[in-house]
Amino acid sequence: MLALLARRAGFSALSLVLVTSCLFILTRAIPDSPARIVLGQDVSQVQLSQFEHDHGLDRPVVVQYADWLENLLVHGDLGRSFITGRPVGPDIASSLPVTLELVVVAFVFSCVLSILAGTLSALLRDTAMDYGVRLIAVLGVSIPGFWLALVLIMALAVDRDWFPPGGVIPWSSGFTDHLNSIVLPTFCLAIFYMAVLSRMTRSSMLEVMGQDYIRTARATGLPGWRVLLYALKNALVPVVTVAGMSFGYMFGWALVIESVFNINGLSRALLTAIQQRDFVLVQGVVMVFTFIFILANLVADVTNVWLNPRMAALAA
Amino acid sequence: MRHLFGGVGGMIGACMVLLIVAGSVLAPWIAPRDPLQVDMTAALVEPGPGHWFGTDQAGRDVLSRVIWGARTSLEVSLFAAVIGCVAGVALGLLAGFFSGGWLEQLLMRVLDAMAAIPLLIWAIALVGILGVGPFSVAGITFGNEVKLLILLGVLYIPTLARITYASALAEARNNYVAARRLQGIGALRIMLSDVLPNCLSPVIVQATLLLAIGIIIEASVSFVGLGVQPPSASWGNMLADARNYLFSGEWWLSVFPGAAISLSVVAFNLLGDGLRDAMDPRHRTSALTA
Amino acid sequence: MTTQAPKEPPAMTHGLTRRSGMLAAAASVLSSSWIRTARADETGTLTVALSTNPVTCDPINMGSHDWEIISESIFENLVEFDIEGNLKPQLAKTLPEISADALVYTFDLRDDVLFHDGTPLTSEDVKYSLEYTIDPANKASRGPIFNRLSHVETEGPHRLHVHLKVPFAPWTAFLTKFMGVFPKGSREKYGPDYFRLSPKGVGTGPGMFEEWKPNDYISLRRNPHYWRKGVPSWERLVVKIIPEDATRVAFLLGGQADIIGAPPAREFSRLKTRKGIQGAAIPTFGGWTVMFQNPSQPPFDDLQFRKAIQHAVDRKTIAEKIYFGLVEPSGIPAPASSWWYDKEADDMTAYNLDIARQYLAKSRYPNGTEFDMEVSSEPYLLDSKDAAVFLQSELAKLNIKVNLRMSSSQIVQTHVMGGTYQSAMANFMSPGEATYFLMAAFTANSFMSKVNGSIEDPEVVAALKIIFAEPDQAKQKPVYTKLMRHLAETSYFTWIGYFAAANLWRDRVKNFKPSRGLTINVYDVSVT
Repeated sequence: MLALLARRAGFSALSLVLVTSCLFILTRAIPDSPARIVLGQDVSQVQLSQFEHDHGLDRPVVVQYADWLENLLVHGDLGRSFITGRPVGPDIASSLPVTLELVVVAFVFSCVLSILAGTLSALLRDTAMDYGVRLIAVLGVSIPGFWLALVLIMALAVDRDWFPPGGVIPWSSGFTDHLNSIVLPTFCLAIFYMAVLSRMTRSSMLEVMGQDYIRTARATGLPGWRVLLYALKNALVPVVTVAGMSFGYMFGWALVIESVFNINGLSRALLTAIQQRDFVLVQGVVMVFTFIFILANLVADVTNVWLNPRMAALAA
Repeated sequence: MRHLFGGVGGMIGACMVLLIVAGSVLAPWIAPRDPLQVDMTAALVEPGPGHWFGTDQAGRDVLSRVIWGARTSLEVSLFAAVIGCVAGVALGLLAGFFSGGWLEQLLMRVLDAMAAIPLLIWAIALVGILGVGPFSVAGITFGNEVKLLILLGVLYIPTLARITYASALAEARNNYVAARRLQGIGALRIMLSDVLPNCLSPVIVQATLLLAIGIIIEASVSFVGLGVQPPSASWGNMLADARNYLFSGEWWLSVFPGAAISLSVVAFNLLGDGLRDAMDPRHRTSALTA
Repeated sequence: MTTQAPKEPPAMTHGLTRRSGMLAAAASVLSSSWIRTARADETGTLTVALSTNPVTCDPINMGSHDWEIISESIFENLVEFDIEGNLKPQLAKTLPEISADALVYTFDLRDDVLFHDGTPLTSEDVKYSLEYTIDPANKASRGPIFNRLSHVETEGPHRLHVHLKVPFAPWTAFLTKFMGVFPKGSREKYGPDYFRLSPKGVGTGPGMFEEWKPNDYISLRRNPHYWRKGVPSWERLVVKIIPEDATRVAFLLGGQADIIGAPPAREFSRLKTRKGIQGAAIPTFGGWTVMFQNPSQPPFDDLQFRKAIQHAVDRKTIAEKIYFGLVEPSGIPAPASSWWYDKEADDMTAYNLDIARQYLAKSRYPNGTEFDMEVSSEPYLLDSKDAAVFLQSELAKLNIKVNLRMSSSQIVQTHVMGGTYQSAMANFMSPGEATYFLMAAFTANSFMSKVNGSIEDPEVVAALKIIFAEPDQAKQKPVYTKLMRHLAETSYFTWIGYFAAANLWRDRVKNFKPSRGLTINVYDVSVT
């Protein structure tokens, strides 16, 4: 277990380095200098060069990258934005919780419902229930979350006043208000993966239930629900892997959902940073997301090993 | 026929896909009006005879824009899938065929690293950094969406490479193949004629599913303004414009493009599922890529 | 996150959490409207929602007129413009005495003004602030406007004389928007980032800087020692950033915003009659809707081409169908309802596609051509996207292909101001007087010189010289008439019209009116 963790951690670090260096090079390669954005109206060549010198932009890319890396690893500092002049770390830290909350709630919602639905669908194969679940699942992967959001806002928040049309009401203004305001965004975020995971659970359960060892277990007289749990434990392995990836992917979709609902989360901050050509912030945000993604995958792998120790050999 | 498409669902999917593809190819002939034709006197007209899907805020016919939007969305997802397939299959074949060597290890590690990239975030960040707007290569001007489709194609590579690798690995260990190698026949020939055909079915299934997800990704990226640029019609940027009309009752601006996206994606998903049931019963493929 | 108790089936634990959450949400659905109303009236907080993202709080670098609500609430000046557009004394007791040669302006300062850190305002502070702004080394973005000022001489703690190099009557009109008064030595003491990001203690205005939450809002606290007694009556001013039109309106309707800027033109007349909401629009003399063109580069370096474009723009349709009357059309740089407007000059720019084709035939591009047009993706003052699309389709009739390039309003502004653009559809706010734009764009080394490709027009320079020296409006009029006709002839830019300052606000806001200077003015506004 430990060996597995260590290898994966090491590999993840490598991925992170690869990914950030790629991004770094790209942001330095574009022709539009941040100097023009910040200094704006009166940038002469002299001022441009001065700005670039002040911010270390005239050094070779490799040196800049090494500097940035050192800053991050030794001081935990993600750098300072050229556009706002503020350190990037605290800005990210202040908008991360909202996004994290949305994604976590949506994720939990997805997992629970999809495991339930997928299992039921597999057990009651080819019944109306099964067809129903499969139909909803197909719709769930096909209907774009942001469109559903627009339609729901129109129907429930404007025509009917059940939910606020945008923004997340902070906890401090009331717990029920807060919950009410996150219902629509989390629902729209969750449906896609709910559909995916329920389909996965269903097909995985079907496959496992058809295996010999399940038949054997039944034959030995174990009660039905214990057989079910045993099957579930094995069936969940691919589902957990995919769920781990979904957690990371959800942060991407949160970008669009946060846009539609005007929620000030980290994903939307990425969009604003792009629009303002604030590449230091873009880098920081993408790095944070990639890190979360890798972490989620790691957790998924560990969970799988816990669920089914024999899988440890396969997962390595 | 039914078995070819893996059941009723697959058949329905196939028919829908055919309709959609035909519609987008024939767009210049079946669209009732020019999708870019601005007519301020007929702005925000409700659906009815003359404008079956109504008009938008610049007086453009929504039906025509939806039809042309199909073309754009399909172009993006198709070419992205093609890029992903060509590159992914090539890499997967190489890794599987030369299994046990340094090439396999290297490719697998690189692919693993690429798989650590959350797709949508990177697509958006990269397009955002490169800047929005048309670009020219060798005298030909490409629209902004070409950047998107190239990036998507590249980001699809790990999944497709893996699938091919898994099949190629199994095939390459085949006695028949080993025999041919011993005979001294060139590796490339063997790869193409013996290994490749057996890897194709899961790849086709995955590609179909990637087409489905590609449509949603293109719509989402255009929605936030980083994909297809106005005034070209894309279902995503039509929905972005529709946002301003949520409260004033012009429902047709949001409903039709969104329904178009949903139906197209359902179609590709049904087709993909059907193909999977028919060709790849062991479900080596995954619906999840984004 | 998702912790699992060992051996317990996962469904149970997560199900409970989610289920209770859903129950609570269901309960709140029934009473949600009541809850929302109760929440909105957080006593004493005034919430304003704007459409763009602020870049700075520094009064000498404000690029964005809607965010001047912050700089104008924190900082003040010798004189100010009131809501009606009249110049009034602010930190000075009365309007200045002007010397006979119009080169010395004398101000008497109020003696009861304190900075936010408690120190009293003196003439030394005003001298410091003015001279800091004038000094080109400090790169004040509007510094060049004040470059006709020479220096400031103080006479005792509450009296000062501002010396000019040449007569330049309009300079007092530029004070409120483009600079502020801060304590002597404060720039050196706190450094430039301080004024940009968190100017605490350095202003005299009704609001004191509290915090800036990026992409969310900037908030100010009431100044308890404000020299105007009894105001402001709000405890806290929160200025939120909401780029999407629909969301901004939704926040207004739902009570999460009290006043909004840049209301969508189409919705405006419908919304202002809605129960609980009020709205008003006031024409500005300084709110320009323009298609900027870079006349130092092709294709706009060709006069015939520019004239073709000039006649291909249907200003009336844009004003009526796209802006629903919130824009007053004009093809020359003068508002139709202003005294320096000339109808003949405007008629020289009339919409006529045949004339446009004639000019095009005489230009270098008789078969049409292609150019880029930058547009702001979020509304700055007004939404330009629809107008840009309309222009694009109109010019297509002449075989001219317009490529729309959308980016955030700051990027567009940066490109335009830096002259690194081909054309741009933009809204632009200036003080509501005749000379600012002309001076800024058509004279050398001025704020907007690069917008015009650094081309200085000698006729404009000569006309301005006469105007600055001649105080009598009747005598100025013929100069303007001639100037307007010249500008219609040369068509450096394609002027479209002047927009009104429009706002929508909720009933709980008392004593609010839109300002001719466009920037939302709330110092004497109260909330119930």
